[in-house]
Amino acid sequence: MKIVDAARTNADPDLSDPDAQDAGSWDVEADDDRLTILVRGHWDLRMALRADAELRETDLGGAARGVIDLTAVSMLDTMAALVVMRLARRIEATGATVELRVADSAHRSLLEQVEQAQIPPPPRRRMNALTERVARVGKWAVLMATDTRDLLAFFGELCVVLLRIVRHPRRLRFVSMVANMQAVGLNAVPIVGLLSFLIGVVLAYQGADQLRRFGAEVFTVNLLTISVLREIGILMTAIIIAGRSGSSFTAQIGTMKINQEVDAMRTMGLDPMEVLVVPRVLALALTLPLLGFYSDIMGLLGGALMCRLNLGINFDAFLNQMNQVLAIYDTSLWVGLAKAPVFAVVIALVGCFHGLEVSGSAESVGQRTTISVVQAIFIVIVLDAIFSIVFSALQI
Amino acid sequence: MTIEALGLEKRFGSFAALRGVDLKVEPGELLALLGPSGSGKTTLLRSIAGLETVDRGQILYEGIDADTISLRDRRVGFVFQHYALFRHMTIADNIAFGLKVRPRRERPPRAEINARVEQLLELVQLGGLGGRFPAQLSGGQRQRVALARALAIEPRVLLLDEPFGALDARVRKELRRWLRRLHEEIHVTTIFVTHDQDEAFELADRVVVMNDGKIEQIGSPAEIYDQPATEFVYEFLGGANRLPCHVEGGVALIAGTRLTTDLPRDFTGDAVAFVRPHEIGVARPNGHIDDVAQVRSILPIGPDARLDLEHVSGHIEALVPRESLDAAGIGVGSRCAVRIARARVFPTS
Repeated sequence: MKIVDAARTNADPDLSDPDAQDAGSWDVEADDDRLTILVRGHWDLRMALRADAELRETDLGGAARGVIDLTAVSMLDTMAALVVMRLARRIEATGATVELRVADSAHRSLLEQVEQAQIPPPPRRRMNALTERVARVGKWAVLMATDTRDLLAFFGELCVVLLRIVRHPRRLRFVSMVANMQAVGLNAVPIVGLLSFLIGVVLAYQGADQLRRFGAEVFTVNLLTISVLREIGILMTAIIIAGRSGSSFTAQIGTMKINQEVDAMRTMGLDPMEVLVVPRVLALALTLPLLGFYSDIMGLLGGALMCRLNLGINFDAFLNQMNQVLAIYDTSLWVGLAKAPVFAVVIALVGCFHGLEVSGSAESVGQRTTISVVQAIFIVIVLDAIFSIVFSALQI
Repeated sequence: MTIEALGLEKRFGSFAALRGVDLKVEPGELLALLGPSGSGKTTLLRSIAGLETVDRGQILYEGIDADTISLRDRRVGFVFQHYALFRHMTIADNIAFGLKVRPRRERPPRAEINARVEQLLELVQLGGLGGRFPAQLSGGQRQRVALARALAIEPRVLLLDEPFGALDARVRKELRRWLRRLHEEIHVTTIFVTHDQDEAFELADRVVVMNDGKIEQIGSPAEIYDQPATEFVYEFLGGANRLPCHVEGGVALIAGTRLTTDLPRDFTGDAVAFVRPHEIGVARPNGHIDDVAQVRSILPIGPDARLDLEHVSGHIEALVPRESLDAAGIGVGSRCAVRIARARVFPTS
């Protein structure tokens, strides 16, 4: 919609003379591609209400261009301006361009004010429920696809930068990496230990309860050993670290992004990938396997304690049985730990990716942090399922 | 260093931030990019720095395509609106950062870096504060640290994005003057973005007025003020009355006053006149009907008075000496004749 200035027509020579104020009126002229609405005279609240009711019924046709000529208006109040704007919007909604011609700068500013005022948009054309649902699924799918593509591109970029660092090891920011190892590894020891221990306890208790019915209590140890070493230990660790460190990566980098620190780095010729992402990815890739191993031990300890209390299997017998199991399933520990670096890279990658995707406001940091945690845990579990299938196909 | 922008275009989704921008920045010049928010001035600055990639067009650093120069080798000092200091580093480390991260071959020895940091802290009048953290400084001090950090790498060009936007009025004024002096001292090519016309006019050698992703006018502050090239520039510089008028043979009839315009002699048609408040005078009505206006209000401002006038062609704001009001016997509610001394007329498209 465009408001243009034009010369006054039929101007009222004396504003202060009330007799000279003619009543308001309007005319609609339509030809093939142009719709002209001539608005004249005195337009106040009463006039506006009358006009609004009638104009609503007017057929606006399919003109490509709409002109609302207000150059002959002697008086215009807010309500009248609103009616004019509404008319202009309706013409616009048919796909036409609209031009408002005004002669009076006061009318112009009133129209501009009214245009900016919050007028609820015309009700959206309602789709039927099925189309709407299909549309929503489609939008969601496209969003997922672009997100996946961006994440993959980010992974590719990371690989390139990692290769560069392999060729020039000096470029690695060692101090930053060690600091991150402390933050994501060492500082996570208590929480990972406690939770793994408790999971071991729960698993042993539930397993023993079921197996007792068959008099096979001693197989609780088999259940524990295999499930903790192959799955539970590393999965628990990955989920805890995704919630704890993946989110903090997003928040840290996101805050730096908003604070324009990332831009400041780039103007100094530093690559945020090299400075911010690589140390975090490497730190997590190095510490997550260690944490996973530690989690295995704590889980088994929890299970051993439960076996001792609940089933009367003492520690020696527990270890003995465990040895027998592992003599057959000798790859269990490695099957579990082999997944750790993969999960680590996923968690760090997703965390950093969303951190760098933050834009605009502090609110965006919060949103991105949430998305990053959910996405990291989701990908970790999907990958775990894929690993399961692959390992069973390979019969290890 | 000379910087040239050739036909820059940039879109963010459906929003066109730059649409065909051509600009040449002379070496050692202090240039202001002035415009309302969303006019593309920050995008232009970020594109020059290499923080944004343009969709079309070229940026030349001394005639060399900037795309072929890495961000490090462009040697750009960038100052951000919200300082963007590294919060976990001391002031001294912040300033030294740009030097410390250089590859070993180009990195100056430690002692030299330290000396340079001290020197820069003195330059920005923050001597002795090198050991503090950004959070312990005031806004004005932080912005000076940010400037010192930008200067540390001996930039070939200094880019400032609304550098004083987040500061209060008094500090802003002080820093403005200080930046002007600093520029006279070091003479590095400087481009800064602002939406504050006073800032642009006070600081810059040349001002670039931008609107809607395009350059409206480039010129010295005086040129821009005296000869606004477009309607937008006139309106953006603020305070001007906008009066519809009719032009006949190059002569405009504006609120009852006949004025010769810059338009061609044979031009006849509708136009818009821009008149600054101090270019309008008032007199006792003399029987003509065209130039009569009604006085809505009178607001004394020092020796002058600001009048709100209601004329057939619209609302007029005038700034006249108070004595002239008394002489003509003009008060609130009375009628007066409008006299327009100067106006700039643009034909209605």
